[in-house]
Amino acid sequence: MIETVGLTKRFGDKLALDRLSLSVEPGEVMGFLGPNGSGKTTTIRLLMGLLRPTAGSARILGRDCHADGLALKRVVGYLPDEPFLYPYLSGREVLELVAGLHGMTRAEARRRAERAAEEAGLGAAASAYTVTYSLGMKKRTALAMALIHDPQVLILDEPTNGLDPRGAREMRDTILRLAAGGRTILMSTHLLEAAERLCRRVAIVRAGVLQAVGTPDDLRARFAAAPDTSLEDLFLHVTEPGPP
Amino acid sequence: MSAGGGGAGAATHAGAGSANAGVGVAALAALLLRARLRSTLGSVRARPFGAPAVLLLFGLASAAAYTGLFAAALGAIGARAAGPRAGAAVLGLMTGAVALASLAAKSSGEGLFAGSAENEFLLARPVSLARLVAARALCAVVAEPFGTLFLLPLLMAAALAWELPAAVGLVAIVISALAQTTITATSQAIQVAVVRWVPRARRTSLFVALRLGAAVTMAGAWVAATWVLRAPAEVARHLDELQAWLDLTPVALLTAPLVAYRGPGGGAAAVRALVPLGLAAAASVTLAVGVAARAGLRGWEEAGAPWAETGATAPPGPPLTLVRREWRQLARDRPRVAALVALPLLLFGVQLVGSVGWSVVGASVARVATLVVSIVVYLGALGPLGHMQHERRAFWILRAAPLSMARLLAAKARAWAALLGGAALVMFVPLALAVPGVRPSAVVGGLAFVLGAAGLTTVLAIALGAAAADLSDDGQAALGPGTVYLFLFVAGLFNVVVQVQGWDRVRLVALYAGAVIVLWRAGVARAGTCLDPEARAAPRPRASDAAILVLIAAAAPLALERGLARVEVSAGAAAIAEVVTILALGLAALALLGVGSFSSSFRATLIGIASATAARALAQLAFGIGHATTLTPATWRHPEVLAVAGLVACADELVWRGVVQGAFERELAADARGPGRTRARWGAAIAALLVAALAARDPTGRLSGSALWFALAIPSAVARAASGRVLGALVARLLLLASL
Repeated sequence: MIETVGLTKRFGDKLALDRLSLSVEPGEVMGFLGPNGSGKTTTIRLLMGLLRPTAGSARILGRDCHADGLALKRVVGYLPDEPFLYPYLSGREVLELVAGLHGMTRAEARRRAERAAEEAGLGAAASAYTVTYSLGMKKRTALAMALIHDPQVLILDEPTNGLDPRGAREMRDTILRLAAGGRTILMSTHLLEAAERLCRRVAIVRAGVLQAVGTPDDLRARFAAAPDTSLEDLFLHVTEPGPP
Repeated sequence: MSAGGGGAGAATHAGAGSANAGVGVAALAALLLRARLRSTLGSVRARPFGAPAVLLLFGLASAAAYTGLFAAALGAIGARAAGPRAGAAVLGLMTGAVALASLAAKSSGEGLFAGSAENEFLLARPVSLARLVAARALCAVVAEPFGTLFLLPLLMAAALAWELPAAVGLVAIVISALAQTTITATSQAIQVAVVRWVPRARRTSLFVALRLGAAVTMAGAWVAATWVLRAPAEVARHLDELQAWLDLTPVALLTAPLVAYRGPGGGAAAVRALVPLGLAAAASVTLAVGVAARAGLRGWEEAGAPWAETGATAPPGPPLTLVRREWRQLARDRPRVAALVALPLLLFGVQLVGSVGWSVVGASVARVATLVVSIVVYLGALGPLGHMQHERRAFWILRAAPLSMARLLAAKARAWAALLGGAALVMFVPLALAVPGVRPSAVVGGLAFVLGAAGLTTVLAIALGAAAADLSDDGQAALGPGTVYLFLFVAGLFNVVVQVQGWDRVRLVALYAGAVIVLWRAGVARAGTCLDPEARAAPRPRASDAAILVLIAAAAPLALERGLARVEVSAGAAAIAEVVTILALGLAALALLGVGSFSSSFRATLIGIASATAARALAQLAFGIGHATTLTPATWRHPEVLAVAGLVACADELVWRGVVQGAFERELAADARGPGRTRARWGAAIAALLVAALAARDPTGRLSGSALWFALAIPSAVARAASGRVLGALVARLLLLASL
């Protein structure tokens, strides 16, 4: 479903991602973990075709993310870490715009925007300018934008980052429901407890290099940890500073 | 929040229905256009008197003014040079200069350097770069009115000067739209090519070069405009050679339809002449689409954040102080350094080849000083004015440190004053020494003036930059264009000091000194709360508002007087210009006060009437004036004069009693109640009258006018103080106007 082979990205002298090979199975929720600056967002932006790989390839649903990026974006939903919203458009208007960008007719765009706003729980705020939104509201709107075209694959960059406990819980519940609906989800996160609950498998990167991938139990076995070792302890162990 | 896109468990992944067809160029352009227009409307609704609305009004007013000015200039040139080719040459010169400047400015956008959040938003959807480029080129015709407003006034001016029928307006609009499409498409092609094919390490240099190119072409447009406006006869002499040269350039496409309309073919010929321009627009869009399609062949990558650039490391240096921090940050910001170095060179270039000529600009020390101060003011706009913008994301570091805002801003002022003062020194001394027959004392005096002006400009820029800053929202710029223009205007007016003598010079320097202190205090106070979104709502009128209005009220008429004297306009035109200045100040005061401050008040009206009646009785008793009324049958025959006099009086009251006295009241009263408040009101009246006395015109030249103006102000000030309302002052002034 999602597959990267030797995916590499270099910014000038800096190697941001080094030969990442990873696959996410259909209907799977995979957690993408790593310290700050480890290459998570770079990977996600490569998958979305927002960066060009220095080497290697990335495919979603069997299609190349760069050569066939346009077709892929019709079936992939993307939630960026810091979503851009037009400040002086209302949430509903931004949703209508996104639906229009997906080629829907105006009537259909309006209907979908209305439904997405309702499902995202925007309520009366859907008519307010997005400049007035809190970070939580912005994330809800951005998630509604990612879902408006009913995508098969979701790529979520730090979906709970900056949210308060209630917002984070709601976001987690939403992701669980989406996963139960059969969608394939790749999400980067710092919330390891949430990752353990939401994800069947996790991938851990450090300094652009994939360190480990598997279910939490696989990782415990691989690193000879006790069965009650938390994912957080595993993460800290795997990403311990030192030569990668 | 529930699962979207069909609901949890119901993910049919049917795609987006019709979405699979993708969005076409026309549909995408329509979507972008709708989003832009709604967004603009939204920003105006959210802040009816905010920057977007003011900018739009300013743009429309400027466009109208340009149309009038160029129509007059083209008419003058037409009268001196025979034949339709003469007019076409001038129009070609101006449209070409404007189109080139617009293309250069658009090509050197910030997107080259740091990418664009909007691009990423759009390109994360099923939208190809090529379609986005094409859609933007189409959408820009309507969504970027300022681009269109640049060219359209020139074409309309030509239509007016050549006395073409009204329908030619449509041809002008089509020309402007096609030119705008061509410019947008070409600039996008340039940007895409730079981001895609120029290595990151070289992109900064190229960005700087493009910016400089944009500045040079803008200066070129300005020089061309000043030649056409100031020296139409001189331009008329060179039209033949100019036309021969222009015929070889694409500029001919822009002028051909209007020229054809003048000929025997009329409208049909004009439409035929539009075809090549349309083809050129189509070709430029095709080229841009081709470049974008090639660049986005295997995905598109924005220019990227600075951290993605090459990993340059900071060279070792002495420990940072507050002052050194400013210098070091500037030294490492290459585009900014280049702009600061290039600007004086460009402005000198403009003076050398401009219509005024170096022989005039460099004729005296005073003129050299004026030029140097003007350049220093522009440097102030590029440098210290933007200080809060440049540290918007890091300001919390300074705010969290145990450091007073006054000390921090003073350090910034010291750092920038040294730079601006140094620049002034380097520019002034050689130029002043080159003035024929110059006396050393004049050079020393001029140097003192330019260094003082550099210091004042720096402090004013730091203060205004801090006072305007709102760092509570990362999504908004800390510095708006309104602040930049206000700074350029207020700081630029300081040049009047060198052009006036005696009392006028003394009072202007005193007013500037006082205003800068007030603005500095306001800047310090605002910088302390700039991270708080609620702090924006500080009540008006503020002392800083009053300081700026007083400066403009005192200096602008003097500047206007000298400017109009140079171009030898009639006395009537000069009077109209003076009235317009006063009315504009009144409008600004009205915007600051808000219409809500004029709600009806029986008490205030009564006090206004009583104050005017008492003043009239006193005038009759002491000076024997006031027997007759202005409102005689003779004066009623000219109601327009009465209306203008009334409006001027109202504008004057809004400025002096509304904003200035109101600001003093707010400052002096603070939280006072009862007798304290009353004392503050009367104190404010006296203080405002003293400032007004200082702002009054030269007593040796305009004694009677100034004295009458001041005498009329006293009853109004009394009415305002007694009633606490502007309404009282307005009533008193209008009654006095009618009865004296």
